Amino acid sequence: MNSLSWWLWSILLAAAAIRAGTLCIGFLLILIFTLVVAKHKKSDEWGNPFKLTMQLALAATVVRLFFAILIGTPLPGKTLISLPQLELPNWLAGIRVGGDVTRERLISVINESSKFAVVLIAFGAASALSSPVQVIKLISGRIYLFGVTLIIAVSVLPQIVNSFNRVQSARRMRGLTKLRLNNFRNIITPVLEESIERAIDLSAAMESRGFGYSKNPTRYRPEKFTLSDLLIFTSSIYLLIFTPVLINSFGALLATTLFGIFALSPLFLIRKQVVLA
Amino acid sequence: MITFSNVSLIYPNSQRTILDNLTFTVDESELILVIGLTGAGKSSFMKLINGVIPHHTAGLLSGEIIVDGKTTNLLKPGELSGVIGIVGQNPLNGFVTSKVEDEIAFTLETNGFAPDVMRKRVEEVIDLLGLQNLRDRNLFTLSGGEQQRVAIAAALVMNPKVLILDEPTSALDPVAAEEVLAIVNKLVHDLGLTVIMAEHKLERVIHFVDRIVLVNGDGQVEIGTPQEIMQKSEINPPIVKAAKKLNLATIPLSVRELKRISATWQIRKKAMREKFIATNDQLISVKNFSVAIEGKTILKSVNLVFNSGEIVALMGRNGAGKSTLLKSISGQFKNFTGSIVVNNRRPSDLVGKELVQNIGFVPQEPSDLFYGNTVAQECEMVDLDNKLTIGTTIKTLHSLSNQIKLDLHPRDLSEGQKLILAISIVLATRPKILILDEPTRGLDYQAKDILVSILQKLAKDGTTILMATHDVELVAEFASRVLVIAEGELISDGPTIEVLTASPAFAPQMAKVFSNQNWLTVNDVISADINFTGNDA
Repeated sequence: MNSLSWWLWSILLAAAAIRAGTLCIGFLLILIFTLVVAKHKKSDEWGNPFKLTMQLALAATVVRLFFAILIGTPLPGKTLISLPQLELPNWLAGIRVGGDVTRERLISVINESSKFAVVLIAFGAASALSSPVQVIKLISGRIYLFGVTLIIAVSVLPQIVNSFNRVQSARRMRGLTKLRLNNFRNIITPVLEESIERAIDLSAAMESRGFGYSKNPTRYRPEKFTLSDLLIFTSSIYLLIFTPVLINSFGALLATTLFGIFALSPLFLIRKQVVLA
Repeated sequence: MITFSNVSLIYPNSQRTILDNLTFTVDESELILVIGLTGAGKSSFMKLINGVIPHHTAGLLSGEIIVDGKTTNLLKPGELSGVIGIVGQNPLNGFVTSKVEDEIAFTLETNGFAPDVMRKRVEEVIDLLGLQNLRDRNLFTLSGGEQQRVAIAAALVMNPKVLILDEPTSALDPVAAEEVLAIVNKLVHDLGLTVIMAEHKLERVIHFVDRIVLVNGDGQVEIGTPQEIMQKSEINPPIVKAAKKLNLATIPLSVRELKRISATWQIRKKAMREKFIATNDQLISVKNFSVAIEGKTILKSVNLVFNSGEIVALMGRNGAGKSTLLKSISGQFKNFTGSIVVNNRRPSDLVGKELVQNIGFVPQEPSDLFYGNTVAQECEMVDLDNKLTIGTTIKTLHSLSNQIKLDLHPRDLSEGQKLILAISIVLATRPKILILDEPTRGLDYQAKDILVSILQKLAKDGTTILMATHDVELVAEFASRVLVIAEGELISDGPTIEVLTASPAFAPQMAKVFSNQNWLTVNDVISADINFTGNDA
């Protein structure tokens, strides 16, 4: 499948999930992404972007939950637990630290975070399913500086991880054990200096190799935009359009099931087509 | 092919002139070698040719450089990508894609070649450089020599007229280096390519280059045949050094030439190397040591004992497991089976003060150890971190070298000075063992001589030294014992002289020339009593 299709597919599905706005569909989508990535994972050069975004999404949800419970305006509703409330001066009216935690407040936060998580995970899934450099080359051949910047950003990332580990163990060999905030700079300085060096080298190499000079760059192995790509593209757009209808006219369970079938069916169709071809 | 007319180059915010009014011409299909001390401006000189300086990197240029009839004043590097192929010092830094085949095709893609032409060209260079087995591999998993070959293929795919190589073998083991240089030689002779190459290890290349460009570093550049430049320059490979010290009339460039000259010599007395007497004080023991990374065996069942005071060199191809072994001994790498005991302790248990008093580790990239803003601050931080008397590290540094300016940023030092600073940092705590991971990477002969004298002094003081290196000449100078690792196994282990003379791949130049003597270094040769009965003396 075309690299671009994977990106369109994940972006459109994430958009549909946001329109639907229900927790069930959010979770279903995360499940779908996990399954598809497990089966069709392509790029291995930058570790595991999907796992990374999963962890990020989880961390973001935990942080949001923490703040929702502790700080913020309480939504009226059923009180689940009551925390001791901090007395604040008058000029801080409207802000609350501690106090009652209502069910409504929790649900709204979980809903909001699930949307955020789905977007993050969709990004991770797309990066795992297609090589990011391929897509950047595809879309940015003509926007020169944009392309250079993106490629450098993407390819410097694994190198940063690598040099971080190296510098960390070099630190240990200097007899330093604890990593405190005031000596965190000791790690960051060498890592950043090396990344800048690498970024300059890479951009000089791209410049010397004529990146961005030709009006019509070609592809060595062009990824064709086939019927199956079209199928996935259109079905995802339909899904995006009809999601509110789906939610409003059926019950939650049925709507979620239909959503899942809609999101996954083109992938099965592709497999059939490959067999036919 | 390439014409420099009145070219001068300086960098902004710098007092030093890199090139001063240089005028010279490179002919078609010439092989030019660029030499000079590190930091003299070799890379700048090469980057000028395709215009990366001044178009991409800052630099004030006057004069004109014309390549194949095109002036770099008007054309940007990208517009010369069909004429000049350039391979940087570290090919991995210049890779844009992640797969071998895509990387080779990249320049064709950006220049808009038709797909069928592309397929043909890619196939051609893959055949030319013997990359058939690697075409689907991920670039990050290739060895250094393979990466270098892919980078050369990617530069050649445009059928350039000029190929520029910046230290193509500095990170490679002797065998991989020979492979790459054989390819360069073939390109010049079979395709008539013009090649401009910088290289520190002159012994590898000097016998097949046409002319040498010597960049002095003060703006002056000398150009001439290898013989002329070797007469003038201090930068000499062992053979030339020996010939100069023995006052030979002609300067030989290859093992073969010196061998023919020396055929008539009569060597009266064998000069014996000082025999190393090992102590019985066992310092490091490695038992049944095996490492597998992602299911691939790196090392299997290695058993070793190092006594205190030994100077051990670890040799073997890139990826043989030298660094892994050294990192395990220093406690940085823990995923192994078997056991390692250093001074009666497990190295991974050592932390902080105990660690730095037992092991001093200089990493492959010495600057990993630096985070101060000046050399002086760096040294002070070492004293504070390890609770030493203030000034200990600076004293150590001065005992090794007093050339290093204390107010410089550690990263602005030359490669050799960085290494010396890194060694002083780890030596400040008086470790029993000094471990060096490829210390001679990117060092010129001068820096290497300084390193040798430092290490010899440390060895005399009783420091045990372990180092991984590809540099046979360095090993010949002072190691007492050599280990060779191949395919995960220890294939030889013995006194330096026995291991180095046993196989031609590891023999230093002097051992190759005087193969019936027990000589390894230039000093061995000049201290011998030789009667020159030929006409040469």
